[in-house]
Amino acid sequence: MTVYIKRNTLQTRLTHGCVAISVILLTLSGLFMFVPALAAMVSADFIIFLRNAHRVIGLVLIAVIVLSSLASPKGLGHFLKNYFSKWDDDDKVFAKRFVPYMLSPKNVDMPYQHEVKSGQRVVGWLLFIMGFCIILSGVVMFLGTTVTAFDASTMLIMRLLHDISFIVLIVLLLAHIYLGAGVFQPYKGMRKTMFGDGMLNESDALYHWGHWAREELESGKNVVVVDDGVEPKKAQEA
Amino acid sequence: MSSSSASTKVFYPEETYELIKEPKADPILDLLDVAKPIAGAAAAATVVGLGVSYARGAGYKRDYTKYDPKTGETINLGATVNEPQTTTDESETSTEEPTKDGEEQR
Repeated sequence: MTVYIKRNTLQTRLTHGCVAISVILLTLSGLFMFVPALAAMVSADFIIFLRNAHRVIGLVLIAVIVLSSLASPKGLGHFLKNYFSKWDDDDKVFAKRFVPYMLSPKNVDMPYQHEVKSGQRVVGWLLFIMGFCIILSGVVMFLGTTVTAFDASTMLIMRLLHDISFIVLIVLLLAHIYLGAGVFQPYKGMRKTMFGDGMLNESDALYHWGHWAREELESGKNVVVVDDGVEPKKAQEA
Repeated sequence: MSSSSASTKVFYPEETYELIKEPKADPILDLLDVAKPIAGAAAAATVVGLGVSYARGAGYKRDYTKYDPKTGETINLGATVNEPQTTTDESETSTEEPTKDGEEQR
Protein backbone atom coordinates (compact mmCIF):
# COMPACT_ATOMS: atom_id res chain seq x y z
CA MET A 1 0.00 0.00 0.00
CA THR A 2 1.47 3.31 -1.03
CA VAL A 3 0.29 6.72 0.07
CA TYR A 4 0.55 9.49 -2.53
CA ILE A 5 -0.11 13.21 -2.33
CA LYS A 6 -1.51 14.97 -5.35
CA ARG A 7 0.74 17.96 -5.93
CA ASN A 8 -0.16 19.38 -9.33
CA THR A 9 -3.53 19.55 -11.10
CA LEU A 10 -3.98 18.53 -14.72
CA GLN A 11 -4.25 22.19 -15.74
CA THR A 12 -0.97 23.03 -13.99
CA ARG A 13 0.76 20.11 -15.69
CA LEU A 14 -0.65 20.98 -19.12
CA THR A 15 0.36 24.63 -18.71
CA HIS A 16 3.83 23.62 -17.58
CA GLY A 17 4.13 21.20 -20.51
CA CYS A 18 3.11 23.85 -23.07
CA VAL A 19 5.46 26.40 -21.51
CA ALA A 20 8.32 23.87 -21.45
CA ILE A 21 7.87 22.94 -25.13
CA SER A 22 7.55 26.62 -26.11
CA VAL A 23 10.68 27.60 -24.18
CA ILE A 24 12.72 24.77 -25.71
CA LEU A 25 11.59 25.73 -29.23
CA LEU A 26 12.19 29.43 -28.53
CA THR A 27 15.69 28.65 -27.25
CA LEU A 28 16.56 26.53 -30.29
CA SER A 29 15.19 29.00 -32.83
CA GLY A 30 16.66 31.96 -30.91
CA LEU A 31 20.12 30.40 -30.86
CA PHE A 32 20.27 30.57 -34.68
CA MET A 33 19.71 34.32 -34.46
CA PHE A 34 21.94 34.80 -31.41
CA VAL A 35 24.98 32.82 -32.61
CA PRO A 36 26.23 33.93 -36.06
CA ALA A 37 28.19 30.69 -36.53
CA LEU A 38 24.95 28.70 -36.29
CA ALA A 39 23.18 31.06 -38.71
CA ALA A 40 26.02 30.60 -41.21
CA MET A 41 25.41 26.84 -41.22
CA VAL A 42 21.90 27.13 -42.66
CA SER A 43 20.25 28.92 -45.58
CA ALA A 44 18.82 32.43 -45.43
CA ASP A 45 15.33 31.02 -46.07
CA PHE A 46 15.66 28.75 -43.06
CA ILE A 47 16.73 31.68 -40.89
CA ILE A 48 13.65 33.62 -42.05
CA PHE A 49 11.51 30.59 -41.22
CA LEU A 50 13.09 30.36 -37.75
CA ARG A 51 12.60 34.08 -37.16
CA ASN A 52 8.90 33.82 -37.99
CA ALA A 53 8.54 30.60 -35.99
CA HIS A 54 10.24 32.28 -33.01
CA ARG A 55 7.63 35.03 -33.09
CA VAL A 56 4.67 32.68 -33.44
CA ILE A 57 5.91 30.40 -30.63
CA GLY A 58 6.46 33.48 -28.45
CA LEU A 59 2.83 34.48 -28.99
CA VAL A 60 1.69 30.94 -28.17
CA LEU A 61 3.69 31.08 -24.93
CA ILE A 62 2.06 34.38 -23.93
CA ALA A 63 -1.39 33.04 -24.84
CA VAL A 64 -0.91 29.87 -22.78
CA ILE A 65 0.15 31.83 -19.69
CA VAL A 66 -2.70 34.35 -19.99
CA LEU A 67 -5.38 31.74 -20.76
CA SER A 68 -4.26 29.45 -17.94
CA SER A 69 -4.32 32.34 -15.48
CA LEU A 70 -7.79 33.38 -16.64
CA ALA A 71 -9.10 29.80 -16.54
CA SER A 72 -8.10 29.36 -12.92
CA PRO A 73 -7.92 32.63 -10.98
CA LYS A 74 -8.11 30.60 -7.76
CA GLY A 75 -5.04 28.62 -8.82
CA LEU A 76 -3.24 31.83 -9.76
CA GLY A 77 -4.08 33.28 -6.34
CA HIS A 78 -2.77 30.13 -4.62
CA PHE A 79 0.40 30.33 -6.75
CA LEU A 80 1.01 33.99 -5.88
CA LYS A 81 0.26 33.39 -2.20
CA ASN A 82 2.97 30.73 -2.09
CA TYR A 83 5.50 32.98 -3.79
CA PHE A 84 4.70 36.02 -1.62
CA SER A 85 4.69 34.16 1.68
CA LYS A 86 7.06 35.32 4.38
CA TRP A 87 10.19 33.27 5.03
CA ASP A 88 10.39 31.38 8.32
CA ASP A 89 13.54 30.01 9.99
CA ASP A 90 13.41 26.78 7.98
CA ASP A 91 13.26 28.79 4.76
CA LYS A 92 16.36 30.75 5.75
CA VAL A 93 18.26 27.59 6.73
CA PHE A 94 17.26 25.95 3.45
CA ALA A 95 18.59 28.89 1.42
CA LYS A 96 21.82 28.93 3.45
CA ARG A 97 22.46 25.22 2.98
CA PHE A 98 21.34 24.93 -0.62
CA VAL A 99 24.71 25.23 -2.39
CA PRO A 100 26.53 22.90 0.05
CA TYR A 101 23.60 20.48 -0.34
CA MET A 102 23.83 20.57 -4.14
CA LEU A 103 27.52 19.76 -3.93
CA SER A 104 27.26 17.15 -1.18
CA PRO A 105 23.71 15.86 -0.75
CA LYS A 106 24.85 12.86 1.30
CA ASN A 107 26.30 15.05 4.02
CA VAL A 108 23.90 17.98 4.28
CA ASP A 109 20.48 17.71 5.92
CA MET A 110 17.82 20.09 4.73
CA PRO A 111 15.00 21.46 6.90
CA TYR A 112 11.31 20.83 6.30
CA GLN A 113 9.77 23.11 3.70
CA HIS A 114 6.35 24.51 2.87
CA GLU A 115 4.54 23.94 -0.42
CA VAL A 116 7.12 26.05 -2.25
CA LYS A 117 10.70 25.89 -0.98
CA SER A 118 12.50 29.15 -0.30
CA GLY A 119 14.94 28.34 -3.10
CA GLN A 120 12.02 27.68 -5.43
CA ARG A 121 10.62 31.08 -4.52
CA VAL A 122 13.88 32.86 -5.36
CA VAL A 123 14.19 31.03 -8.69
CA GLY A 124 10.48 31.56 -9.35
CA TRP A 125 10.78 35.30 -8.94
CA LEU A 126 13.91 35.47 -11.07
CA LEU A 127 12.14 33.42 -13.75
CA PHE A 128 9.13 35.71 -13.53
CA ILE A 129 11.18 38.93 -13.79
CA MET A 130 13.46 37.66 -16.54
CA GLY A 131 10.54 36.03 -18.34
CA PHE A 132 8.67 39.34 -18.25
CA CYS A 133 11.75 41.19 -19.62
CA ILE A 134 12.33 38.72 -22.44
CA ILE A 135 8.63 38.70 -23.42
CA LEU A 136 8.35 42.51 -23.25
CA SER A 137 11.51 43.08 -25.32
CA GLY A 138 10.45 40.36 -27.76
CA VAL A 139 7.02 41.93 -28.24
CA VAL A 140 8.52 45.42 -28.76
CA MET A 141 11.00 44.06 -31.34
CA PHE A 142 8.18 42.13 -33.03
CA LEU A 143 5.94 45.20 -33.22
CA GLY A 144 8.86 47.44 -34.21
CA THR A 145 9.58 45.35 -37.26
CA THR A 146 5.98 44.71 -38.32
CA VAL A 147 3.15 47.07 -37.44
CA THR A 148 5.15 50.13 -36.40
CA ALA A 149 8.67 51.51 -36.27
CA PHE A 150 10.64 52.43 -33.17
CA ASP A 151 13.87 54.40 -33.25
CA ALA A 152 17.14 52.49 -33.54
CA SER A 153 18.17 53.10 -29.92
CA THR A 154 14.93 51.64 -28.56
CA MET A 155 15.35 48.55 -30.72
CA LEU A 156 18.96 48.13 -29.60
CA ILE A 157 18.04 48.49 -25.91
CA MET A 158 15.29 45.90 -26.38
CA ARG A 159 17.76 43.56 -28.08
CA LEU A 160 20.19 43.99 -25.21
CA LEU A 161 17.41 43.35 -22.67
CA HIS A 162 16.40 40.25 -24.65
CA ASP A 163 19.99 38.97 -24.61
CA ILE A 164 20.60 39.67 -20.90
CA SER A 165 17.31 37.98 -19.96
CA PHE A 166 18.29 35.00 -22.11
CA ILE A 167 21.65 34.65 -20.32
CA VAL A 168 20.00 34.61 -16.88
CA LEU A 169 17.17 32.34 -18.05
CA ILE A 170 19.47 29.77 -19.63
CA VAL A 171 21.33 29.36 -16.32
CA LEU A 172 18.09 29.13 -14.31
CA LEU A 173 16.46 26.75 -16.77
CA LEU A 174 19.44 24.39 -16.87
CA ALA A 175 19.32 24.20 -13.07
CA HIS A 176 15.52 23.84 -13.14
CA ILE A 177 15.74 20.92 -15.59
CA TYR A 178 18.51 19.29 -13.54
CA LEU A 179 16.39 19.36 -10.39
CA GLY A 180 12.90 19.04 -11.86
CA ALA A 181 13.72 16.13 -14.13
CA GLY A 182 15.27 14.32 -11.18
CA VAL A 183 18.79 14.13 -12.61
CA PHE A 184 20.03 15.24 -9.18
CA GLN A 185 19.77 11.99 -7.21
CA PRO A 186 17.83 13.30 -4.18
CA TYR A 187 15.23 14.66 -6.62
CA LYS A 188 14.72 11.35 -8.39
CA GLY A 189 11.03 10.78 -9.16
CA MET A 190 10.26 14.50 -9.15
CA ARG A 191 9.60 14.43 -12.91
CA LYS A 192 6.25 12.68 -12.32
CA THR A 193 4.83 15.66 -10.45
CA MET A 194 4.81 17.65 -13.71
CA PHE A 195 5.12 15.13 -16.52
CA GLY A 196 3.34 12.18 -14.90
CA ASP A 197 0.19 11.91 -12.82
CA GLY A 198 1.09 14.89 -10.65
CA MET A 199 1.50 12.76 -7.55
CA LEU A 200 4.37 12.12 -5.19
CA ASN A 201 4.68 9.30 -2.66
CA GLU A 202 4.48 10.40 0.96
CA SER A 203 8.14 9.63 1.70
CA ASP A 204 9.39 11.90 -1.08
CA ALA A 205 6.80 14.53 -0.19
CA LEU A 206 7.95 14.48 3.45
CA TYR A 207 11.56 14.78 2.34
CA HIS A 208 11.09 17.67 -0.07
CA TRP A 209 8.23 19.65 1.43
CA GLY A 210 7.91 18.35 5.00
CA HIS A 211 5.58 21.04 6.39
CA TRP A 212 3.30 20.86 3.34
CA ALA A 213 3.25 17.05 3.30
CA ARG A 214 2.28 16.91 6.97
CA GLU A 215 -0.55 19.39 6.40
CA GLU A 216 -1.80 17.41 3.40
CA LEU A 217 -1.60 14.06 5.21
CA GLU A 218 -3.45 15.52 8.20
CA SER A 219 -6.22 17.02 6.08
CA GLY A 220 -6.37 14.01 3.73
CA LYS A 221 -7.73 16.28 1.01
CA ASN A 222 -5.18 15.48 -1.70
CA VAL A 223 -4.12 12.10 -0.34
CA VAL A 224 -4.48 9.03 -2.54
CA VAL A 225 -3.92 5.56 -1.08
CA VAL A 226 -3.08 2.92 -3.67
CA ASP A 227 -3.48 -0.65 -2.53
CA ASP A 228 -0.77 -2.03 -4.80
CA GLY A 229 0.43 -4.79 -2.49
CA VAL A 230 3.75 -3.03 -2.37
CA GLU A 231 5.71 -2.43 0.76
CA PRO A 232 8.95 -0.51 1.08
CA LYS A 233 11.89 -2.84 0.60
CA LYS A 234 14.75 -3.08 3.02
CA ALA A 235 18.01 -1.77 1.72
CA GLN A 236 20.42 -4.25 0.26
CA GLU A 237 23.39 -4.46 2.54
CA ALA A 238 26.53 -3.30 0.81
CA MET B 1 35.29 52.96 -38.50
CA SER B 2 36.23 49.35 -39.08
CA SER B 3 38.08 48.23 -42.17
CA SER B 4 35.04 46.35 -43.44
CA SER B 5 32.89 49.49 -43.50
CA ALA B 6 32.48 51.38 -46.75
CA SER B 7 32.42 55.17 -46.98
CA THR B 8 30.58 57.06 -49.66
CA LYS B 9 31.11 60.65 -50.72
CA VAL B 10 27.93 62.59 -51.33
CA PHE B 11 27.66 65.53 -53.72
CA TYR B 12 25.51 67.80 -51.55
CA PRO B 13 25.85 68.25 -47.78
CA GLU B 14 24.66 65.23 -45.72
CA GLU B 15 21.68 67.17 -44.35
CA THR B 16 20.24 67.30 -47.85
CA TYR B 17 19.83 63.55 -47.79
CA GLU B 18 18.76 63.51 -44.11
CA LEU B 19 21.97 61.66 -43.29
CA ILE B 20 23.83 61.96 -40.02
CA LYS B 21 27.16 63.72 -40.29
CA GLU B 22 30.02 61.50 -39.07
CA PRO B 23 27.83 58.67 -37.81
CA LYS B 24 29.13 56.55 -34.95
CA ALA B 25 28.16 53.04 -33.94
CA ASP B 26 25.95 52.85 -30.85
CA PRO B 27 27.99 51.51 -27.87
CA ILE B 28 25.11 49.06 -27.20
CA LEU B 29 26.38 47.14 -30.24
CA ASP B 30 29.60 46.43 -28.33
CA LEU B 31 27.55 45.16 -25.38
CA LEU B 32 25.58 42.91 -27.72
CA ASP B 33 28.83 41.40 -28.97
CA VAL B 34 29.95 40.77 -25.38
CA ALA B 35 26.62 39.09 -24.54
CA LYS B 36 27.35 36.09 -26.76
CA PRO B 37 30.56 34.88 -25.07
CA ILE B 38 29.03 35.67 -21.65
CA ALA B 39 26.02 33.49 -22.47
CA GLY B 40 28.29 30.67 -23.61
CA ALA B 41 30.50 30.94 -20.53
CA ALA B 42 27.48 31.10 -18.17
CA ALA B 43 25.88 28.04 -19.77
CA ALA B 44 29.17 26.12 -19.71
CA ALA B 45 29.84 27.05 -16.07
CA THR B 46 26.33 25.95 -15.12
CA VAL B 47 26.73 22.61 -16.89
CA VAL B 48 30.10 22.04 -15.19
CA GLY B 49 28.65 22.98 -11.78
CA LEU B 50 25.68 20.65 -12.23
CA GLY B 51 28.05 17.93 -13.43
CA VAL B 52 30.07 18.26 -10.23
CA SER B 53 26.81 18.15 -8.24
CA TYR B 54 25.75 14.99 -10.09
CA ALA B 55 29.09 13.29 -9.51
CA ARG B 56 29.07 14.21 -5.81
CA GLY B 57 25.52 12.89 -5.43
CA ALA B 58 26.16 9.55 -7.13
CA GLY B 59 24.94 6.63 -5.05
CA TYR B 60 22.70 8.80 -2.88
CA LYS B 61 19.95 6.90 -1.08
CA ARG B 62 17.62 7.78 1.74
CA ASP B 63 15.28 6.02 4.12
CA TYR B 64 11.62 5.54 3.36
CA THR B 65 9.48 7.50 5.78
CA LYS B 66 5.85 7.65 6.73
CA TYR B 67 3.90 10.24 8.69
CA ASP B 68 1.40 9.32 11.34
CA PRO B 69 -1.16 12.17 11.46
CA LYS B 70 -2.59 10.84 14.75
CA THR B 71 0.67 11.12 16.69
CA GLY B 72 2.33 13.76 14.53
CA GLU B 73 5.44 11.62 14.19
CA THR B 74 7.50 10.80 11.16
CA ILE B 75 8.40 7.13 11.13
CA ASN B 76 11.55 5.84 9.51
CA LEU B 77 10.80 2.50 7.87
CA GLY B 78 14.44 1.72 7.32
CA ALA B 79 14.26 1.32 3.57
CA THR B 80 16.62 3.23 1.38
CA VAL B 81 14.80 3.64 -1.88
CA ASN B 82 13.03 6.65 -3.31
CA GLU B 83 10.02 4.63 -4.37
CA PRO B 84 8.46 1.41 -3.07
CA GLN B 85 9.88 -1.69 -4.70
CA THR B 86 7.66 -4.23 -6.41
CA THR B 87 8.22 -7.12 -4.07
CA THR B 88 6.18 -8.91 -1.46
CA ASP B 89 8.92 -11.37 -0.61
CA GLU B 90 8.93 -11.69 3.19
CA SER B 91 12.65 -12.33 3.25
CA GLU B 92 13.30 -9.00 1.62
CA THR B 93 11.02 -7.03 3.89
CA SER B 94 12.60 -5.07 6.68
CA THR B 95 12.68 -6.84 10.01
CA GLU B 96 13.98 -3.80 11.79
CA GLU B 97 11.71 -1.98 14.16
CA PRO B 98 10.61 1.31 12.66
CA THR B 99 12.38 4.21 14.29
CA LYS B 100 10.61 7.42 15.07
CA ASP B 101 12.52 10.45 14.10
CA GLY B 102 11.80 13.69 12.50
CA GLU B 103 15.04 15.42 11.87
CA GLU B 104 18.11 13.26 11.57
CA GLN B 105 16.88 11.03 8.76
CA ARG B 106 16.28 13.92 6.41
